[in-house]
Amino acid sequence: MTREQISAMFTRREEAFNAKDSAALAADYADDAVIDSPTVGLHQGPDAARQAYDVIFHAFADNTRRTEALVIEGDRVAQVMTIEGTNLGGLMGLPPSGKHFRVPAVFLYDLRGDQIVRERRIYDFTGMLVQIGVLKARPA
Amino acid sequence: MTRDEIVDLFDRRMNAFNDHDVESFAETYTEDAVVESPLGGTHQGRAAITAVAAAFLSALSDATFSQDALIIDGDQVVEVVTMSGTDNGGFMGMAPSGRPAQLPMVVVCRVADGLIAHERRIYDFTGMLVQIGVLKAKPA
Repeated sequence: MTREQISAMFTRREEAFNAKDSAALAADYADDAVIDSPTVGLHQGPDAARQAYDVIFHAFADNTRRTEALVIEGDRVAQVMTIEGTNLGGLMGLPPSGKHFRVPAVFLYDLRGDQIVRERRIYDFTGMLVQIGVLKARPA
Repeated sequence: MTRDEIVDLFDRRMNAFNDHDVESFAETYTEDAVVESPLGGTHQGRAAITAVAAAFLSALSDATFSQDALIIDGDQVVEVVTMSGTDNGGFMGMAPSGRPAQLPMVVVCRVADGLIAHERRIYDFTGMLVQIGVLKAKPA
């Protein structure tokens, strides 16, 4: 894909995420795509991707991403963004806390043609769990 | 900067860190570089960058980085590393826990004049504090 096509793809994906359209998001993954997510674990392929997005959207019905930078080199992309949401639906078997989180994040992608073949998500996951009240942290 | 010059800059930065040579590490930044760090907050200039790196290495005195990816897009650079280290010096005023930590870290940089002018560090900082025992986390 050209740089313009990659930019357009990620603009479309952010709109799909903010619209909670898990089917549109999942359609961008190759069948052998591997997604490494702190929140939902390692999963593979579009069907698992769709289920994982549904878990996230159930937990955080107001979840949004705001891309701050898209760093593109060939078929590799780093998406720098802020993610925020409120724990309105419960996560990890726990009831909803109603608490809000906001974290900076970097998602790293390897593309093949117009599909994602690898995605790695890096952010302060433990801090997010503390913000939404799933974990309590105190000085040791 | 050419791609090769940027690759060389980040090699020098990583080698300086792994040699625990904080002065050489700081010399890979511009005089007025701004760094946004979960540990050191937003700090500016080589003296502050040296001090934050020294504080990190006094706590995790065997800390090393290994590079997983370097994505270069004009003057924007994203480096993904794995940090490994042991809390054998005490972190944030605490006694050393002797516990190891290993985690992915991302730095999002802008380069100028052959050096790093701005850097933003994104990683599971809270998770690192839990791994080395500075924080205790339990289900809420």
